[in-house]
Amino acid sequence: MNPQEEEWQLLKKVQQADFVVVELTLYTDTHPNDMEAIQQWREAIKEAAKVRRQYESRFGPLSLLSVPSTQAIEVGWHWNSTPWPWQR
Amino acid sequence: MWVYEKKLLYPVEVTTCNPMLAKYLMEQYGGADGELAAALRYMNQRYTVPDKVIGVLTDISTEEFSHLEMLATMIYKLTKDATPEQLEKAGLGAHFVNHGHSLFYENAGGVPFTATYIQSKGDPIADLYEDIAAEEKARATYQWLIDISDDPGVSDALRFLRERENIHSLRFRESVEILKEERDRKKIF
Amino acid sequence: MNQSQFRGTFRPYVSPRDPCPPILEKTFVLPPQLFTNFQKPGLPQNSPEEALKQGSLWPQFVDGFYREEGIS
Ligand SMILES: [Fe+2]
Repeated sequence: MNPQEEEWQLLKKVQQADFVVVELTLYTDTHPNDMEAIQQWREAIKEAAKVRRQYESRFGPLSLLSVPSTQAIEVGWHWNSTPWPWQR
Repeated sequence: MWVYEKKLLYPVEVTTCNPMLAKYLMEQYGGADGELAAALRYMNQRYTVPDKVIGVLTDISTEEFSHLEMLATMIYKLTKDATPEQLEKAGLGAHFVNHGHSLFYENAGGVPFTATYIQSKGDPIADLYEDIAAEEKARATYQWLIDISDDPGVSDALRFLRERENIHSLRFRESVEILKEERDRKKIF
Repeated sequence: MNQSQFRGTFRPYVSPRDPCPPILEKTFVLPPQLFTNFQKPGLPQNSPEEALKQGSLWPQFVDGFYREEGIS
């Protein structure tokens, strides 16, 4: 796999994990007493953070809530680096 | 406040240079039942609805902005390197003389966005019923866009977006039920 | 996914003077959320991969719309 394809695939993993959080957030908004769902929602947030760390350690932060890794800085990552989401 | 995420909600892949399709997609970018209207409608209603439904309006509005970015991505890609001649043939000649290659909040017919597309009544049921209707209208618009799209990548993203409208409609319907429960709760005491 | 459970049909009046070849039966969408005013807890879920692909964590609310259905 070329590095660009690898990056796309790893980003997709982040998108999948984040999407579960999006869905469970909306669900728990209207089901505040479903304790099982709230537990799953907590786990989903943990999982999404884990997958995000895997991506960001190699390719740089996806948001400014993450600390840029030294690896990312070394390869010349900047917040303003291309591609932006609509360019890729 | 909001924090920008440098990624799309859903991986969009556009395979054709297709300004005609871009013109049609503008209906969901800056049209009456489009993503901008949805995002602004919910974000504005949320300040005065009962506390129990503020979360739904905030979170769905935020998601609508990510849908708006997906639409922008598709329109951008479909027109990126199109020549003025190609744009003109696609019915985007007037758009080109006014906006060049840039995007604009307008519908498929070129009518600019207006706040009159959305409403806020300060009545929770009136507002939520408008929101349910908005989701069903957006769903229908995605259906007709899927029917007219000849780009497989765009069709795939549209199918995802249409499905989100189902879920949003469901959450707004649940919000109505939550408000109805408030009355039943009073009766018990 | 059984799509047909989320579709309705009707038969419009056909005139001999209709210019386009008549479609005798028209189909329209009855989306899944019409049949669930409040989602029940514990519904079967998609995997994260499948959820993103389908656009929902719960297959029950996915009714999939395809051009080939010929609804319009
Ligand atoms: Fe929506």
